[in-house]
Amino acid sequence: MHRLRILLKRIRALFQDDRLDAALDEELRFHLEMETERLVRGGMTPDAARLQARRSFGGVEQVKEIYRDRRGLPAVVTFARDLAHAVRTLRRHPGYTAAAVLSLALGIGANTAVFSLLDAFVLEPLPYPEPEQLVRVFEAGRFGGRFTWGAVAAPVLRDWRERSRAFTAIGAFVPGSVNLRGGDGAVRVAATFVEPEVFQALGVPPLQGRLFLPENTKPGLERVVILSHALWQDRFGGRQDVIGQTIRIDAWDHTIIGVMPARFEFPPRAGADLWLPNLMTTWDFTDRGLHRLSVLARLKPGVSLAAARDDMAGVSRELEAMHPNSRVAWLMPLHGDTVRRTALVLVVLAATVGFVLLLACANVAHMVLARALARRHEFAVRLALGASRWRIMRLLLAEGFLLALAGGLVGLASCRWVLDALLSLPANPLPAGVAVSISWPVLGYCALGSALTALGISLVPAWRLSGQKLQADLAEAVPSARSRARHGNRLITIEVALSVALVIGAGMLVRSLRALADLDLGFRPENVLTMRVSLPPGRYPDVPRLHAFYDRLLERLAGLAGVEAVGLNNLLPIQMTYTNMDFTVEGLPNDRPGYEPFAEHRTVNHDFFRAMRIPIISGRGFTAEENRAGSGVIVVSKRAADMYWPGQDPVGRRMAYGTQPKPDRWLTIIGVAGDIKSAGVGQPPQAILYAPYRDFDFPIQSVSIIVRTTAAPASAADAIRRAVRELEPDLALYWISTMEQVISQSTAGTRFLTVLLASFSILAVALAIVGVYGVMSYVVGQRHREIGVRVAMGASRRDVLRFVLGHMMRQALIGIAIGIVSSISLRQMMRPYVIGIGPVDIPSQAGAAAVILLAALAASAVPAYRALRVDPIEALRHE
Amino acid sequence: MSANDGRSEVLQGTLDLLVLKTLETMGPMHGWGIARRIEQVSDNLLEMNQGTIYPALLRLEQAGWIRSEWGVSENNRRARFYALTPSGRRRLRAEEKNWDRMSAMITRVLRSEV
Repeated sequence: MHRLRILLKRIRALFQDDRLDAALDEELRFHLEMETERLVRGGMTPDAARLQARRSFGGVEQVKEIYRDRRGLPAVVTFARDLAHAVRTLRRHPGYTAAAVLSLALGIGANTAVFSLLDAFVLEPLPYPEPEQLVRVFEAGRFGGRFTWGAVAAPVLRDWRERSRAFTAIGAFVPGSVNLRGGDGAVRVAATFVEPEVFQALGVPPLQGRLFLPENTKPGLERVVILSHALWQDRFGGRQDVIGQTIRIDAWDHTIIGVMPARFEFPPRAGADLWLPNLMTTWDFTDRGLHRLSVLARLKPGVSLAAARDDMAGVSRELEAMHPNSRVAWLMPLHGDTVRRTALVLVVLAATVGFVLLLACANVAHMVLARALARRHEFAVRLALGASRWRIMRLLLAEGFLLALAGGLVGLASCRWVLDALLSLPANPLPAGVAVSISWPVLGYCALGSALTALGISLVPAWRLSGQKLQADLAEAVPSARSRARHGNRLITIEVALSVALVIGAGMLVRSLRALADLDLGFRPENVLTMRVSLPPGRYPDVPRLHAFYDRLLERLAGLAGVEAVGLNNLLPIQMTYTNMDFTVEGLPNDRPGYEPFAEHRTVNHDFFRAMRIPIISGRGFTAEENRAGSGVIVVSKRAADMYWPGQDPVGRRMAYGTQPKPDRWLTIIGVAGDIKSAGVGQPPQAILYAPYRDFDFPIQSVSIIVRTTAAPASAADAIRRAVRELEPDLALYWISTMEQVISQSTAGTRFLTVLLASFSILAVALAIVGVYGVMSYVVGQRHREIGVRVAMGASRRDVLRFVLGHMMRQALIGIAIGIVSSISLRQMMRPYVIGIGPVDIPSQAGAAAVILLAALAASAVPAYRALRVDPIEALRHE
Repeated sequence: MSANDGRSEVLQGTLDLLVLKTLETMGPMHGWGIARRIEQVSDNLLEMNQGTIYPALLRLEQAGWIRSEWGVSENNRRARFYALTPSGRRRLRAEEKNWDRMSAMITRVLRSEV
């Protein structure tokens, strides 16, 4: 408190400088007069007395200085003065200032933009109360030696609900889509089927109306729906009386019982337009082997994730005792699970723009150093006059501060533009509908970045220049050549290393893309049109009717002109089905934990393999006649065969669904199909079971139709749409695209990163060229005399070149080595997007090295030329 | 300049003490008067530049132990007079006690060597 009062007094004194100075002058004058008079009275002459008075006083100016320092805040005053001086200096060299500010603005702007993306997509907490208490629960286990987790079976969820004590609520949800009947036809909207416990766990109260109750999930009663805020605004104009109205979803009327608030979204970052109660099927009540549900839970207050995991481990053990070979429960925080993929892309991006900023800083730091060296006389004089090292550093720091401030402001201003450009890139893998804004944390990050930049660009020059060595340097006309050269070379090394790393990263991604294009997916995607069709449960409430429609549809489409084959599948190849089935291999005991057979399950028609051109490696596919209930045939994929029938041909052998199959439910394997990349283009092939759709009585309301055409697939789209409408007038086909488009959509992440990394590495190379040019220019300028001497002593043109370029090349090579090493960790970060390229990728690394070397040489061309033109006589005269 | 800057804390503290004591004994005085008084009382043993008293006076005033106001000197000139404040008086008491304690301890140490 005491100190604070003193501080305030000193701040106040800052504004009263002149008045206080006058008062002090008067006081000191009084003192000297009194002392002089006293000495005169003692017998001195007036002149001697005046002199003696001053002598006993001590240095008057010194005292005034100390007094003033104590009175005000000298630090602030001198800083303000330094800033003013720096402004004047910078204004005198507008070109240099503009170049420096622009470079920094680029770096800071890009970094701020990427950080605001990170803030919006990754750091932003989910829009639920206490979101850190929300977890995803999976069924998991060690399969084939690896720990994996996935969907949950309904009976297992029920057991968890009964037995676990860690959750306030636990419920299942299934994302999907439905037909919404509107004024002008049907439209497909995203819908999530949720159990009432899910809303309970999320804990967000509705804006209007109420949430689901357990009664809502019982079939046969009134159908209800909860709308999202956006849908309420779009469809109903935000009317207040919407509760109780009905809308037609999938051919049934649903009563609207609630509307959610504006910021609410579920599933997180992938919000649905409306929510429906999750209706269970008969399978869900009994089959522990059909894993298809996503599960969300809220931890009880005070229960940590570790405690919940322990609790669920106990529950899993109890269940294992009752049902051998069960999977265990596995919990993951909801936030982490949601942002995992996005975080990866953005972190790679952040590293990239970080490198670019470092490059810009390096360039500007060199500029500052070069100019400061040009002013070394001024600094040496100041030092001799008694300025402390700190004062000299302050001058340079003030300049650096101003440059970084200007760069930061310009960067911030252009940040919005950069963000919009990034978000509008076609292959943008970031989830849509998330608002990205320049919020306070972003501004704080920008300020921090600018401050660090300021330090970075001025610290080294300031330190070097204010040292004692400088006074010795004054003696020479030219500072020691070796020390200068050393500093410049360090810069070349840094610039080369950074740009090499980025170029290698970009190169790897480009090669990944090429590899992706050539990848064998296991099927032939050309000339294939795909679409989805979804049958409203209202008109197709049971399995026989569903199957009957699929039969008719397939027959109809197959008969169209230009159609070679038609396939049906619950999901497209390369789209991983979240559902997997446990099964039993005949003759193989099911008690080897960790190797219980399970596989992806796809229901197909007989022509599916032909339509997709998936080879049948062994045995055969099923015929149209075998596509009927009770046919008991099944086709497995090669991976399934390798995993569960190792060393044998599974054709002719039998298997059954579930871990405890009934004797009459054994299926005979009649063929082995070639592997397809069903989990995604970059993932290894999965084990798959292909069942004829008529022999699988789980109701599948939506299927993907694959049409192989003889000519270009897009032209067949109209004919297909018409055919479907003739069969079922109210039915809407959706997600119509060619297989090739679907595949390219799935590689969006890699393409996005590639475009960005390639752009930034071009920028980095440009910055590096500017930097190398700057350094070489400067070095040649400084060593002008040295070169003249060498030429006078008989050096040839080649010797001069070797002298000038030698150092540069050596440092560039060191930089390349460092760059290659750091590219390995860059690649580690990008692993999911770099497909098929190992950490040591000779073509990328050699290519990058070559490109940067050429760039460095090109940058040195003009300075080298100038070095060759040095006239020895003129150089020796030069001072 | 730097020599004065590096003036030890002990010396600063001593000066503060002397100024406060002087003001207590003599009542309100101007800067020159205080400096002369200190010179006399210490028998000119204390070799210090008179000017150093002014930063000390500023410090004491900022701390609130003395206050100043302009007045008229004994020979009708305008001068700035300093006076002790109540908290200054308290501070003086405390510092005196401190000083006594310290010098007693040092005396003990020195005497014990004999």
